[in-house]
Amino acid sequence: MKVEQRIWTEKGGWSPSAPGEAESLGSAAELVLVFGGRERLTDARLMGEVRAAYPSARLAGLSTAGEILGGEALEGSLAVTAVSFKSSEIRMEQVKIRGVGGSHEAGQALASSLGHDGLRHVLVFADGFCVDGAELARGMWENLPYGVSVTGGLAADGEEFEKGVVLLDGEAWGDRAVAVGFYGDIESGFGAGSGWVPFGLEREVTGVEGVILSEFGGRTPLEIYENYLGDEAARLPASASMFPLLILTDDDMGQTRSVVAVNREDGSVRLNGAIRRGARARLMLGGPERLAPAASEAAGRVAAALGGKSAELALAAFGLGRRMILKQRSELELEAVLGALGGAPLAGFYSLGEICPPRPGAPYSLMSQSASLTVLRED
Amino acid sequence: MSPVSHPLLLRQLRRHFGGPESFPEELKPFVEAVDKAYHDADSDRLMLERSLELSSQEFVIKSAELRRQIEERKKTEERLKEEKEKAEEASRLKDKFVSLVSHDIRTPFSSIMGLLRLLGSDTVHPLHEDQKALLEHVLRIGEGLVNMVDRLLDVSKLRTGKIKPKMRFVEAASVTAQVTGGLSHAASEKGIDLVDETPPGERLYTDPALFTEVIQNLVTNAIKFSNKGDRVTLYMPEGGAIAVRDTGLGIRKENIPRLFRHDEKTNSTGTAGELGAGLGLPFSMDIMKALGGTLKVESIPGDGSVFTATLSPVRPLILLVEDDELPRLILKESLESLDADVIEAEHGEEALAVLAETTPNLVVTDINMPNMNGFNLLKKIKESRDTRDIPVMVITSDDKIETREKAFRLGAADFCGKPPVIHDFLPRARRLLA
Repeated sequence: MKVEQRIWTEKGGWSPSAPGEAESLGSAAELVLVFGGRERLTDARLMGEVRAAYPSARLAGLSTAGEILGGEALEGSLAVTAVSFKSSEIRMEQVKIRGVGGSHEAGQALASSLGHDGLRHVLVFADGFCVDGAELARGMWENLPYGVSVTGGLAADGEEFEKGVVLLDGEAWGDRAVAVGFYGDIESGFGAGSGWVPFGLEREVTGVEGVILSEFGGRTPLEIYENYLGDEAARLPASASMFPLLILTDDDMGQTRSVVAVNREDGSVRLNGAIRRGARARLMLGGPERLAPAASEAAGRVAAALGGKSAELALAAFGLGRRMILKQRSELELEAVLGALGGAPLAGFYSLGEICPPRPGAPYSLMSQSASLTVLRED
Repeated sequence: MSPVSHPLLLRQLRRHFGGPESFPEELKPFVEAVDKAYHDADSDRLMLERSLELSSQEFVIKSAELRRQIEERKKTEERLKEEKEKAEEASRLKDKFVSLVSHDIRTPFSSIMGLLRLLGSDTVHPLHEDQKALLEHVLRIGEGLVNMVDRLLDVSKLRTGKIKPKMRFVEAASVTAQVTGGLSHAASEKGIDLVDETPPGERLYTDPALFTEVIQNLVTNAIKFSNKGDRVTLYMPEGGAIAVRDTGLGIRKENIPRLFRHDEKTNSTGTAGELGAGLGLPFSMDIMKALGGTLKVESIPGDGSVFTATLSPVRPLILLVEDDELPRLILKESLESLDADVIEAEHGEEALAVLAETTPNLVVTDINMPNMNGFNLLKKIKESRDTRDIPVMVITSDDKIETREKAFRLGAADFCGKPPVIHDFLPRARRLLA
């Protein structure tokens, strides 16, 4: 596997060099992962440059709430990672998500449309503003061969929280999910770290309809968030990411959910995945002393999943809340992750939700504000 | 304008570098980053403190809420307790009132009845035939009223604890015979077949008077709600129980729970127009409860009913009277092997004290003892109405024929030499318990 990374920023243009200049994979690249601000992914000129530089490659990506490239965390940039494989192959499919209620069905259809012969791993990107991430992941898991895992993330929109897009070749789409299937002699490892600490009252979820949470602990979620955020409430819904929800039910020891939209009229919020009425919810808070170590610990576990062989490419889907809490220290977290991964090229994005089973062999899971990692290696 | 705004950083820059203005241009982005980090640290801390404060407030509110709920619950519990006590007091007062009133009615009423009877039996001034008929009618109604008042008195006595059951052993067949004897006339008058299938020799441990009252109520009812050609049968469905089965009207299922309630009035008019206060079954239920037993009914409308009065099973109780400690210990142990409880007494007086409190199923007594010997004890037991049915087994080393004869003459049920040969003594004791 050969990997080449470059980044475009408004200030500095392309770095280290424009695609196509100097030494480049060029037409040898088969897959190009593109993570960037929504305005970058929909910038025809920029995307044209990327496509021209890698004429034979398939392009996949999503809009982010921040880009991760190596140890750097950026905003509003375009992070490009081009890959050429030794022998393994990829296939890409996309599906339209027909409303939040259609998430499960979309997941099933997407998984079915991928060929299952030789399939080893699936990467998925979905528009985070129109999907129930947990249901999408469940649908995919149901229709994939045993042992094939799905990892990925939900497209964000910086701190704007207006709309997300996913990228399929040259086109950026809303309301869609894109899957990349990896076939052949390719190995994957994955895992996620949290570091968030639940605090305060356990509140019963009294009003919820799918992903719309209208009441918990006898109050509207907006009221609770405004209270806890103080001045930061002006940055809602993005700032709600700093207080993700831990959802407890009698038969489930904790799912995490995060806010993707706020309804100021009735005080309800939209979550990145559905929860059940009668579940109990607690707010969680995070600090650098716990978030960063949790991420690097997860990275250590993920690296070990490849059985001592080093990863050739690492993909990161991190929750936006981590960046909002860590601020300048985000890069400390990324550097710790890089160190634990043993120097593999790292590409990734800050998202509205991370799809990643908590450990190999476990079924689907939607994580929120996690540090989830996928590593790939060809044999 | 200086890009640095954090007061601490500004101060540090002034102190160490003479102010941000004198800072080299190329280091400005660095100072800006440091300035931002200072602000971030402050706002992070502020948010953390805010979270802590808010969540503490929420806990305080929640715990106040819980405290209020607990207090409310306590108040509710106290109120319920008070109400319950009031209700119980009211019930006691009511029973007491009924008892008093009944008594005050009964006394003058008995006099009225007596005077009326006197009027009817006056041979000097005999009544006309139609006057006699009238008087008989008045007497019949009067007797009905006296019975009802008696019943009310009984109910209130039982409920106020004035009647305490006196438990002893009684032959089941003697209870049923007493009842059928008293009611055979009423049955034959209505053309009802009254059959007693109670086997002889079956013993019941109960208060004979109260239990007889129950069976009498059941048979009276059975006759009352049966027609000509029907049959009323008394039998023992199992040990310790007497059942009354009739082929009469039967009872509708929805009426069954109301039968035993004092506060419910069920149809109490018999097939021949017999009247009643509807107190019989509730009173019988009270009695069975006081006896530690149950009263149950099964019925099919049109096919008849079965009422079963079941007494609680009891472990036989043996009173062992013996002054010598060692033989008493040996006897006690062997008697306990009969699955019986054994009470010990050292002489006749102590035995009588025990008998005043409880009624054992069997008395086993020695003859030669201080403070009342066995003969005197035997005599006392057989003299008292309360204890005369208790079988007494005499044990003595004095096995002269006269001693034995005297014991049997005084009412002993069995006689055994001392020390007893266990394999002979135990079966005989068991036979007396059965």
